[in-house]
Formats: sequence, structure tokens, C-alpha cells
Amino acid sequence: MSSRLAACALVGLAASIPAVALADQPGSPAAASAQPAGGAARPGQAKPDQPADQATAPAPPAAEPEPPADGASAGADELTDADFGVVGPDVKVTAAERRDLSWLDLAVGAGLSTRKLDFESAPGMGGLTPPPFRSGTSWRLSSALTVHPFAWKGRSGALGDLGLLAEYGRTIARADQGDELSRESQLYVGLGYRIPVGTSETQPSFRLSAGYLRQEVRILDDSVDFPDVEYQALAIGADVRAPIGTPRAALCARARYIVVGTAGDLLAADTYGDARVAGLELGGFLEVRPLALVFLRVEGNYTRYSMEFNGTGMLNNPAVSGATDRYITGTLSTGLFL
Amino acid sequence: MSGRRRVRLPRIVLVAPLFLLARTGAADTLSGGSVALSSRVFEPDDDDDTEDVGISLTTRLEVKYRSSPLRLGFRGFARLDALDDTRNVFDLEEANVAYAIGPLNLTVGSQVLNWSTTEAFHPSDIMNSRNFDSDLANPEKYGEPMVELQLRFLQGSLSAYYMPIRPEPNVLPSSSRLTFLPAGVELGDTLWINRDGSPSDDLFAHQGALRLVQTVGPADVSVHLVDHSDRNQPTFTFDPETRTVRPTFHTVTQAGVSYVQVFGGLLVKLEAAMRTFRAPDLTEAPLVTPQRNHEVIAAGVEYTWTTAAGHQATVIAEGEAINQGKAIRAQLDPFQRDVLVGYRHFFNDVKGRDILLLFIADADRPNEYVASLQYSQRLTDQWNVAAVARSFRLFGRDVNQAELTLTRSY
Repeated sequence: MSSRLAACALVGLAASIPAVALADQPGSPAAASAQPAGGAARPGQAKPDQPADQATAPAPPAAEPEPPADGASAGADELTDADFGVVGPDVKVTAAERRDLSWLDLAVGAGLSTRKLDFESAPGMGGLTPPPFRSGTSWRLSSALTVHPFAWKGRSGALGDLGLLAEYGRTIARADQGDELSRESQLYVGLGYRIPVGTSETQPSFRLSAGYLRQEVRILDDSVDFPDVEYQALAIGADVRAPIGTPRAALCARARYIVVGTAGDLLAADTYGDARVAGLELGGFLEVRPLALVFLRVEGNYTRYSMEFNGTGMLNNPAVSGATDRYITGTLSTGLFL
Repeated sequence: MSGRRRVRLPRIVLVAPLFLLARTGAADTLSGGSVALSSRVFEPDDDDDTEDVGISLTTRLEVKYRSSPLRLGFRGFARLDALDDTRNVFDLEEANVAYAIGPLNLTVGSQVLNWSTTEAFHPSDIMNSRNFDSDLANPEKYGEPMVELQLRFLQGSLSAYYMPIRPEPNVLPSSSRLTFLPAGVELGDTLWINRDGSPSDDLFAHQGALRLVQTVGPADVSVHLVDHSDRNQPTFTFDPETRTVRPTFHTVTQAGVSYVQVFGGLLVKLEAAMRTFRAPDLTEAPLVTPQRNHEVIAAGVEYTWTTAAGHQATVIAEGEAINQGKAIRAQLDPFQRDVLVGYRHFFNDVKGRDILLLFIADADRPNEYVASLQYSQRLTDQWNVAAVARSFRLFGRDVNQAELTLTRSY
């Protein structure tokens, strides 16, 4: 009877595989029942009035594993090959893997960008605020590279989702009327870890990243009396890539929090002195792949640095409490997806 | 036979005598509670006026009784802190009796209402007073006495509320580590601005609300209209007699909507509200700063999936924006133009292990942020442990905080 039990266990194990795979499919009953503790209520289900951390009753124990599907399990009265001493093939349970994920993503693009820097005044002292800086609209070239070296040639494993990230962009000329007042450039080098969801090509993937960011603006026009900036920072980010029904079209959204270490001449002792600086970058793109390996992207990006002056610089006065430095870019890019 | 006797009695108003007539044999009773020992530690600020450490004992009790068509609910908690007496609190969150007649349901007594759908930003959820000495994004709510008449129809309900009492929110004094008041400011008593603009210390005021909720296919939609004394967005009024600053709450009319829809594993959430405040009377309340009318919108998405190990993972992204000038909206709400990124990992095991990571950044002033990491699990069937580490910078203050809570449920 022990062989019969073993056979039942094997069949039950095999039957449980599609159940696990189904649980990843959006809209499947398994996915629909996936409710995080304390999360927002789903439609048609009242959210409890009481926050989860105020619950008084102990939480119910975790659900026991589902029995195998009726059609797949061997009934108690049915004889199997094992009853006749026939040894079946070994059943190996391995997690299904996404096959649509790239090991290399290289993009080059061109677009427009603009920069605005505004000083913030203390309440009631707006008249003493220094004039803002406006760069006008400039043409900008950019490139971005993502490499997953451990995923090359279809290799997989936990390291396969570890990627190297690099981005570079700079303005090249004024796009609207007027001389080029400043030149802006941005360099980012970092590491990212990709978290694919499920087994389908139309399911999203997430990425966590961290890296070094340098964003620089040099004033080119000698008649403009305004300090250069050079933010050197740690950028911590998260992004999501969501295919739109097909793997050949996707939306990507990204957020980065920028912990600024230095900010260049703007925060030197002879300008505005020490300050607390942090930034936030929000961006996203729409991607279409007309060919299997080639994509087109329409991208938008907004970066904002906020400064709180400590009042130690020579240009500081009681009216100026801080500054906000904003960058907006729009890019059309193309590239390879391998 | 006791059920027949109840049916012959008048079906309105006198719900308490009905309860006395009900026999326990025909009723369901549910009771539970917990005792929690919690320690809270802040990174020291070297200020003798503030308390950096707290050790509190919190007891909760919940009793529910149902004997159709009657229901009674009681839920409350008390917290006693050994080191920081500003944290001592007693709250009767729920103490009400409900009576159902067909599609009508009448509830009289204290309630805590939750109208929010989002994780951290709650434009729609304005009904109860808060204890601001708790979670920054989800402060504890105080129960509020009210009468609710609910009509159930289609896939939802229409509720009308009358609230005669306005419990005071717990606005934190400058000695609290979680306050946004400047150091040295002495906080006075709460001041209410009535509907006619007159200032008042009165606990009683006529307040009301309507809320329509319907489930339409895969979506939940609700619309509300509230006219009450605001509890979340005070201005501050200097009182020359007591030389204190009084938190001043204004009468507000809020019209709002919330929307939640499921698209497979994706949950999309939206809350929006328009707030119109009554202006204070210039002759009776000349020192009171009017509160600004504004609109606020919050939207978010949650994506949940099951990992290969059978765990549940959820990614959360939300944002909130207030339609007002930069300086004004910064005074209205610490989350005036903010974005949230969060991740929850539920291990789906017998220990109920759960991790929640939240990061909120101010899009106006990225210097301001709130980061928190929460972990909880069961130790046994009765014992539970939870830990929170939180770091934030708001209104120029840096605060780092850790909490550990051990709970015994029964």
C-alpha cells in the first residue's frame, strides 16, 4: 500500500503544478483571492472599519493547501501503474520562467528639454527674492543601456535578473529663439534587479535600482550671472514595465528618489552656502516594437531638486529660504531589444 | 416564542428595551480583545521638553451581539503610557445599537467610519476625529456618536448620518516628537468655528452627511456629501488671554467621490473631494485665520501576484495633489503633492508573516519624505509581535522612530 500512496502523492504533486501557474494569471480565481493583509478592499467587498493593526481577534491560520483537482487525482478505488510495479517518470517541479525578458536593451534618442530654477522666499518677503533662471527649450540627445550579463544566451537563475544600468544625455543647442544660455548633462550608472511577475509575456515586471547620478548645468552665456550646478547623488529607484495586451507594446513608469551629496557652485560658500538638497524624478514611456528586436519609445521625464538653505552663503539673505530646480524632458528614442 | 413577542413591539426608536427582551438562546454573541505592550523610541533630539521613549499598555475589547433584527456593537481601547502621559487615551470606537427593518437599517451610537480606498492618502475619509499621536499616514480614529439610517438597494446603499457631537482631535503639543508646531508654542483648547462663522467651545453642533455606495460590475463607486466641523485641517489662533495658540477647526462642506476597480491583478483607486469652508465672522472671531477652500485628488494602483513560493506580493503606487497655491497647500496637508511607492509581502504561512515597506516623497519639496518598514507575525495562536521603523522629515523636522509591540489576543 505504500507504493499506492506514493503514486497518489506523485499524481497530486503533478496536479498541483497548473494550480500554481494559474495563481499567477490575472483574473484567475487564485489571483482574485490574493488579498494582502490590511490592504484596500476589493470592489464588492466592504473594507473593515478597523485598521488591521487594531484588530482584536487573532488572525485565522493560513489556508491549507488545496487538494488536487478532481479530474487529475487518482481515485481511491482506481488502480495505477504503480500498483502493477511500473515505475513512472520522475516528476520535477521547477518554477516556470519568463522567456520575453531581455539581456540587453540599448536606446538612443533625441528630444527637447527645459530647466527652471526658482528661489523660494520667506513669508511676506517675496519682493526680495532673487530672479529665477530659465534655460529656454533645448535640443537634447540621450542614450540608455541596460545589460543583464547573467541572462546572456538565455541563461537564467537569480543572477539573471541582476542588471547594469547606464544613461547619458546632454543638451546640444537651443531649440527656441535666442542664444544657448546653458548646457545640461546627466550621467547615471547603477545596478538594478528585475522582478518578473508570472509566466506570461503580457504580465508586468518590476525593477529596483540604485546608482550614482550626476546632473550638471554650465552657464555658457557670460552675461548671465548665475552659478553652475553639479548635483552628485545617490539615486534609488523603482520602475514597472507593463505590456499592453501584447509584448510588443508596453508602458513603463519610473520613480527615483535622489539623495544629493554635493550641488556644485550653487551651494558654495560664495553663493548660497550649505543646504539640504533632495530630488525626485518621475518618468515613463510608451514602447512599441514594430520589429522583434527593434523598439520605438516616446518618453517623458520630470526631475525636481529642492533646496533648503542654511543661510551660510554670501548671497543668502533672510528673504531666501530655498530654491527649486526643475528639469522637463521629452524624448523620442529607438533601440535594440535582445 | 420570544421572537414573536419582539415582532409585536413597535419597530422604531425603542431599541434598547427590545434588546432586554431578547433571549440569549436566539442570539449570536462574538467577543474578543487583546492586551498589547508597546515600546516606542525616537532618536534623541537633546530637548528636555520632549519625551524620546514611551512604554505603553493598550487594552482592546470588542463585543458584538446579534439577535435579528437587532445588533449591538461595542469596541473600545485604552492606552496608558508609563513615561509619556500625553499618549494616554481612552476611546469608545464603537458603542451602538442597530435595528433592521427590511431594506432599512437604523444605527444609533458611536461609530468609526472608513470611507477610504487608498493606502496613505485619504481625501474622502473625513468623518472621525483623529489621534495624531499614532501612525502618520493612518492615524487612529476616535469613535463619533451618530445616527445612521441606511437604505439598501441594488448593489449598495444610501446612508444618511446625523452627528450631534464633535469630539476633539488629539492635536499634538510642541512637546510631542510627532508635532509640527514650532518649539515653545503652548497649545490651548480647541476652538470651533460654527456654520454662521461664530467661534465656539461647544461640544455640540448639528452635522450631517449623505453617502451613496454602489457596486457596478467590477467597480465600487461612492459619492458623499458632508457638512460638519472639520477635524483634519486646523488653522491656529492666538489667544491673548491665555497666551496660547488654539487649534481652530472650521465648518466645511465636502462633496466627494471614490472609485475602485479591479482589472485582473490590478486594483485602481481614486478619491477626490471638493472642500468649502465657512468664513469666520470678522467681528466675533477677528483673530481667526480663514481656512482655504480647495480640491484634492488621490489616485493609486495596486498590483498583487502570487510568487512561485506561494507568497503574496503587492506593489503599491499612489499620489495626491491639492489644488491650491504652493504655500497654502503646504499648510493644508503634509501630503499636499506627494507620491507613494510601497511593497507588501505576505508570506501566506501559519505565522502570518507580513512585511510592508512604504516610501512617500513630497513632489513639491523632495526634502520631505516619510519612509516606514513594518513587520508582523504570530508567535502562537494568541501572541503576536509587530515592529515598525519609521523615518521622516516634515516641516523641517527630522524624526527617526522605532516601535515594538507584543500583543496577546483572546
